[in-house]
Amino acid sequence: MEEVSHMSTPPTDTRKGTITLESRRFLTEDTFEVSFRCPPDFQFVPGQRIRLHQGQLSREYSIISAPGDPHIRLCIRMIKGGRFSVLLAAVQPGARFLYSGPTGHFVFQPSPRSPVLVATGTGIAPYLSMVSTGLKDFTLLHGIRDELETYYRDRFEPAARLYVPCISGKGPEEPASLEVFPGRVTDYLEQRLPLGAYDFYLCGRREMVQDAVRLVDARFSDSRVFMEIFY
Amino acid sequence: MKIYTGTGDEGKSSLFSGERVMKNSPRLDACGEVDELNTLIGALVSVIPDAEDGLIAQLQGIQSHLFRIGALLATSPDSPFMEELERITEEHVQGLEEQIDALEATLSPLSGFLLPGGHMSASWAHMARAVCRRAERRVVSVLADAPAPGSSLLKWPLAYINRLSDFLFVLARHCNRSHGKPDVPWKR
Repeated sequence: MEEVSHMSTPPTDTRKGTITLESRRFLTEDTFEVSFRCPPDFQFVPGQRIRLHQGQLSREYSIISAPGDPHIRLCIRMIKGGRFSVLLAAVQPGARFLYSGPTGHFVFQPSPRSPVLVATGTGIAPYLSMVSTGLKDFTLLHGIRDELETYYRDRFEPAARLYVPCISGKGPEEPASLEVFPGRVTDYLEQRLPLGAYDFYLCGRREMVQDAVRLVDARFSDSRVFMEIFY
Repeated sequence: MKIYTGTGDEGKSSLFSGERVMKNSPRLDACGEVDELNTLIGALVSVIPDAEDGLIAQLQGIQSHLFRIGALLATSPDSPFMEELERITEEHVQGLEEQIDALEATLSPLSGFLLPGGHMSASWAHMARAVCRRAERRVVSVLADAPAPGSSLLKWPLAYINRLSDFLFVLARHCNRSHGKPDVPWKR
C-alpha cells in the first residue's frame, strides 16, 4: 500500500519455531499444496502469511487453511528458476522448516459494499482461508491459463455469488466450458462488472494488481481496494 | 512480497481501510508528517549515547506510539477495521506528561526563549519538535474534515502529539546539559 503501509501497526508475530512437512499433493503440473502440522501456539487471521526458512533462503506464503485447522496448508506454484518453490516441490514428508509469522494485513473487512475478489494463479490462496471461515456472497474472478487451474472450484462455487474463471491462455478458440470468461481478470472488470462501488481484493501478479487499481480508479471510484502482490 | 506496488503512480494511494484517496489529501498529509516526525526521532536516538539506555527505550516507545497514530490516521473513521487498531489513550498522554516532569525536574528553571541548537542530539530533538508541531497542525486539518466518530478517535492522539513537542523541547535541554552545552538564550 505504498508509503502508508510503512507506518501502519504491523500485527506481526516474529517468533520462530519448527514445522514439519506432512504431505504434498499436486493440483496441476506445476502447482501443488503442502501441509504442515500447525504448531499449537500459531494463530493467524485468514489472509495472513507464514514465512518459511531453509538455510539462507526464506519465502512468505499465504495460508489456505482456516484458523483452528490442525494443519497449515499452502498452495504453491513452482516458479522457473525459483529456489524455494522447487525445494518445497521436491522435499520428502518429514522435512523440517523454520517458520516465522504470521504477517500481513490482507484480511477481509466486512462492509455494506459487495466484495469482488480478484486473483491470478495461486493468488487465490488467501481467499480459500477466508471462505473456510464463512465468507460468502462474493464475486470471485480467478485469472488462470487453462481450466486445469480451476483447482478450488468446488470450494468456491457454493459460497460465491459469482465465480468466474478468467482464462487468458486459450488463444482465439472458444473455451471448452461456457462457465468461464475468455480473457484476463482485468478484461472482465472493464467489460462485464457493472459500474458501482465495491470492495476489491486483489491478489497475485503485480501487473494485474496495477492494471486493476487503474480500472478501479477510473470506473469504480467510490470503491475500496485491498491488495497483496505475489510476484 | 514486494515493498512497492506501483499502484500510486497516478497520484492516488490506498488508505489502510481500502479507500483510494489523493496523495495530497489531509489524511495522507498527516500520515506523512507523523512519519517524518518518527524518522527524526530515530535520527535522535542514533546520536544518544548507549549509556542512556532508559532514554533510548523511552524514545523507541514513542516511535511505536507514532506508528499507532499513523495507522489511525490512515484508516477511515467509519471503517470496521478501526476497531482492530491499537489506540492512543489518555494514559499514554499522562505517561508522556510524567516523562516531561521527570526530565524537567533535572533542569534549571527557564527564564526566556532559547535558540534551538547546541549538541547534535539537542539539534535533532529541536528539529523533531518543530516537525511535531507541524504534524499537530495536519492532524487538526484531518479533524476539521472528519465526522464526529472520527474526531473522538483522534482526540488522544492529537493530545499525545501536542505533549510530545513539549517533551522534545525538554529533551533538547537535557541533551545539551548532559553534554556540557549551556542553553543559549535568545537576545533581542
